[in-house]
Amino acid sequence: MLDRRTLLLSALGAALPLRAALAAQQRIVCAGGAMTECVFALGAGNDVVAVDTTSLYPRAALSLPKIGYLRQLAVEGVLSLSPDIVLADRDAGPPNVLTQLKATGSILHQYQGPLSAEAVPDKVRFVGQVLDRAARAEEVASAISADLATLAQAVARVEKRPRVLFILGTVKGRMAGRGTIADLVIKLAGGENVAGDFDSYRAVSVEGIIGPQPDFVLTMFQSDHAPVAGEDPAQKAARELGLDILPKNKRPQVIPVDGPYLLALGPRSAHACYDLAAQLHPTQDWPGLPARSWVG
Amino acid sequence: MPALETARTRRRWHIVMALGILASLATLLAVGVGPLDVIPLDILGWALHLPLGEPLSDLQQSVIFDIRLPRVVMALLAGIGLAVSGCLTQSLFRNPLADPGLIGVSSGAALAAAVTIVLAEHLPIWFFHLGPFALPMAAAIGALLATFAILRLADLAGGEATIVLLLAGIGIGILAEVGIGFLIFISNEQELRDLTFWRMGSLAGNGWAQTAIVSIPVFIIAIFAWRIAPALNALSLGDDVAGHLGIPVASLQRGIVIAVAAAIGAIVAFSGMIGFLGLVAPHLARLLVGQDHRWLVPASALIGCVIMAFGDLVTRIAVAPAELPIGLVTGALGGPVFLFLLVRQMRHGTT
Repeated sequence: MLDRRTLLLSALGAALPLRAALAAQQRIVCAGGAMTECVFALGAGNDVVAVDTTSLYPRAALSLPKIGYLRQLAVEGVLSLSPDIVLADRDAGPPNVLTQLKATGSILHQYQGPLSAEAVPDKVRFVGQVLDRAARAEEVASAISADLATLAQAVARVEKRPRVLFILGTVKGRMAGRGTIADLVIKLAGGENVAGDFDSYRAVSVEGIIGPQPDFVLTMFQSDHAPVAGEDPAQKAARELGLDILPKNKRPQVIPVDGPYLLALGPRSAHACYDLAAQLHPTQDWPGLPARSWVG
Repeated sequence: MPALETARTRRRWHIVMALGILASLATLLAVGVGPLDVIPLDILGWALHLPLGEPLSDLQQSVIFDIRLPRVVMALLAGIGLAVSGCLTQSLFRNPLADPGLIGVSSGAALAAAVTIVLAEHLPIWFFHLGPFALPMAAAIGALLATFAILRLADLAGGEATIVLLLAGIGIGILAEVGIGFLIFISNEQELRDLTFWRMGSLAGNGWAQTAIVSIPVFIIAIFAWRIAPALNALSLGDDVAGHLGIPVASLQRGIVIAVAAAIGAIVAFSGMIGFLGLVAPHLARLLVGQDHRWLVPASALIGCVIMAFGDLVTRIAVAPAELPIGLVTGALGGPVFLFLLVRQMRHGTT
């Protein structure tokens, strides 16, 4: 058997002239779907070696090794990937694992911005700075800002704001109140969150859904779940929520939304909210946002 | 029958020594193996300052010494603490189904932790200057409050009859569950997931500071249990008999409850809820060495070490680079072994 070290050394020798070219090659670990999307949007997707379980876009991220749930990271697991950069979204955790990651060198970069639409271009710039791709990040960020502005203009034309409920999980649903990302995207898409009188999420009954008389009920599915053939997801959700007890013309319209697409607060947020706005205001004309390489 | 007694003692020595060797092997394995590839021989050379294997890189050194080693030590401490607590609780209630969770201590800790997770923004700001220690602090306080409530209730009921302690513990446990249930009801998605994971236990993120804190109550309970082993043997004959034998039953009970609360509070605080171990480890020990607490206590502690060291290893490598909750693994390891020994014992009809 060839000695592994000799092999490595000779490979290194052969690669020396290439070192300058390889210097840009970094090993990136992403914790948070938005972080993964940003890295791919900036063209550094090939450097990503692992992602967390909330990173479901783009498709290339699905086949990467998983470091577990965003808030339940494992320090040795992350370090075993010998990353140069660990990008973490604001919700990453637990705190003591982040502390340990910080202690082993300056590889951890956590985004600390607020939970708002303005934060989205900021997030892209933050990732651009960490990856040393500031110029590209600026392009992407200003394109997203422009898309958000287009969305805001289009939504401003809306005359009647439909009443909307966002429900997380259909069998034992919980509706989204104030201060949630769902609340934010409903507003951005020109809807009114009828559950806006309490903070965060609250369990809900059929009566709780019907009572406020929403025009639309948004339910969530995960983008990596393949749709079941011959089944209408909207109808299935309506049945699971118990809405089929109502006469057809009294039923709120159920819109199943792609959770990671709509709720990641990442580069695709402007498009996701625009799509939602088009569904909430079907009578209005929605010419669509310009196609972007990081969406679709 | 001195000859028989000697044979029995020798057999017990063999079992305890075998357990000790198994625990040491499990510990070495847990330190030597993990998602980060390090050759065990290199670690040995580095640890003993001997020219063995290759020198470790900085990253390897910091992973072994600052991350892997403290959490393995934490796993051993939790194993000892949970097993000995289980042993003491079972003796206290003279009930092999008793578990430290039964006297309400774990529930109190769990409620306080749930409050910290869900009501974070409503708690005073200084609390969060404690950083990673905020959650453990809360859990320890919760465990102690629950214990004092139980002891106070027992006092009010006059004396500390075991049954009162047990019922008070169950009552406190129910109230804590209601509190946790309400917090789950008002929690958001993330808090809910945090709570769920916390209740399955995790050794992740524990460094030397946390390990040092947990070591104190664990050492205390281990020494305490060892010293009161003969009294526990008397207690197993009933409170009255033990009293006639000159055992101060009431203060013994109180001592057990406080020691268990301190140990469980500290362990739950830094590692979340690690189920089954407190119940299973003393049982396994009983099947191996019999009822005598002088053997039962050390055997339980060693079994706790073996299960936790192996369990920690599995949590780290099974789904690397992610990590499994330790509570799942201890249950998965302890449950089948326990059932196997139980069936074997029933078939042979021996202890």
